[in-house]
Amino acid sequence: MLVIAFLSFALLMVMMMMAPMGEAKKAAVAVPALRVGEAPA
Amino acid sequence: MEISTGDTGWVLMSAALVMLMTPALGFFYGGLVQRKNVLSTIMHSFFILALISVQWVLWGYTLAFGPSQGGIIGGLDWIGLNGVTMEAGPYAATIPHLAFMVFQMMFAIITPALITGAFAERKRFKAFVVFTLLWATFVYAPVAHWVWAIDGWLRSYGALDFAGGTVVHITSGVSALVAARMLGRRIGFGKEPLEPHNLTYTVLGAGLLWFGWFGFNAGSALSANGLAANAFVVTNTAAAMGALTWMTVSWLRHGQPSVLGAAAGAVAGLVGITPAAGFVDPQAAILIGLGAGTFCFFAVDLLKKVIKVDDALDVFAVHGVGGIWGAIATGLFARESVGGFNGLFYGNPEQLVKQVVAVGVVVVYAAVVSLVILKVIDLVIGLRVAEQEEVLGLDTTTHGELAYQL
Repeated sequence: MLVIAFLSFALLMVMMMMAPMGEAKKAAVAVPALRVGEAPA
Repeated sequence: MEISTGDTGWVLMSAALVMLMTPALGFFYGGLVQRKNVLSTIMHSFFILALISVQWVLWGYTLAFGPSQGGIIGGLDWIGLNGVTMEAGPYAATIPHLAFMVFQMMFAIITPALITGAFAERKRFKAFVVFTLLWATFVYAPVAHWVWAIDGWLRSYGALDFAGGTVVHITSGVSALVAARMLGRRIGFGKEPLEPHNLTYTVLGAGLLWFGWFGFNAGSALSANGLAANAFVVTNTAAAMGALTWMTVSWLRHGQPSVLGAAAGAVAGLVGITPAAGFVDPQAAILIGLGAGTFCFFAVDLLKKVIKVDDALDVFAVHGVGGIWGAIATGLFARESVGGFNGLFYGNPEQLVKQVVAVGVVVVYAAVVSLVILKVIDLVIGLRVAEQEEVLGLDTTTHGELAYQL
């Protein structure tokens, strides 16, 4: 049981590291054209 | 000794109070960042709550509190919580070992969450995940063992830390400073205002932190007794003095009674009293809160304006400086009638020396190991997001979500 528990956690960590950084979602979200120092809408 | 229902109830309730501090910290920090980074900042705290909960069960607890290997680190006897049962353990005779374990888990969770304030608004999420896991394993667990574990070398040496001045606040504060240096300043730092976007969140977070801190400090008595009552009272007193002091100093300096100053001052007072809560009386708590509010306020100015380190949310100034002050203050104000030890002002200068040694060792260890971890992550993953992502904000570019649809 201990080994399975460790492997489950390790697998999650590996999957997290291999996951893309949300490239697909970036385009889907309306990004406000905010720049540093610019007043929010 | 039999398991006490009163003690068990108090420690489990305290664990729940300390648990609440981590999302509260998310709100405290979330209000301080720009609106484009509020979700990513809150996510740091919330994610750590999940990540370290599992790490602590699997290997964190046994490394920190397991049977000592030469006073340096715990053995693997309790890996996966094997042998950690409903019966009393070696750390508290009247509560289940599992209750002690879960109370300590909440400390292990909030400590790396404190560091996230230093790298807010610019750290890569994957780098943050790996850093948190490595830091909890190689910095938090060993230092917790030295200070709190049976036969831990700093505990055997006689250094006092009731609820985490060295283990929680100095480690996180110093590591935050190292992280801020390694990551570099945010785009626009010193040139454009990087103002807090919602101080109502920050005050809400500070209020919940204050509330949760009763579990943090009074729960550390591990029993529903007079020592817990003392810790509760000195905690509230120091928080109040910290808030009054920071706000007043800030008012004198900047001409207005700052809301943020009151909130930050309360947290500084809470940090200062943490190592001392089981060793000092309420009168000393007033002085500890006064010192925390003063030293931490000037540390913020020094770091931002003189040294120009972009510790975004002042983690070192509040937790590092406040933790160092609290540890030293324990050596000054400790009183035998409270916790069994006297400090300098009650005729025992040796205690002050022990506190200074503990502070020095923990500062150096946390700084060096954090630096190594960050260097390795920088080489393998990269610490900082791309410039474009930083400009657009991490809420959209990292998480694909917006905090406000306004």
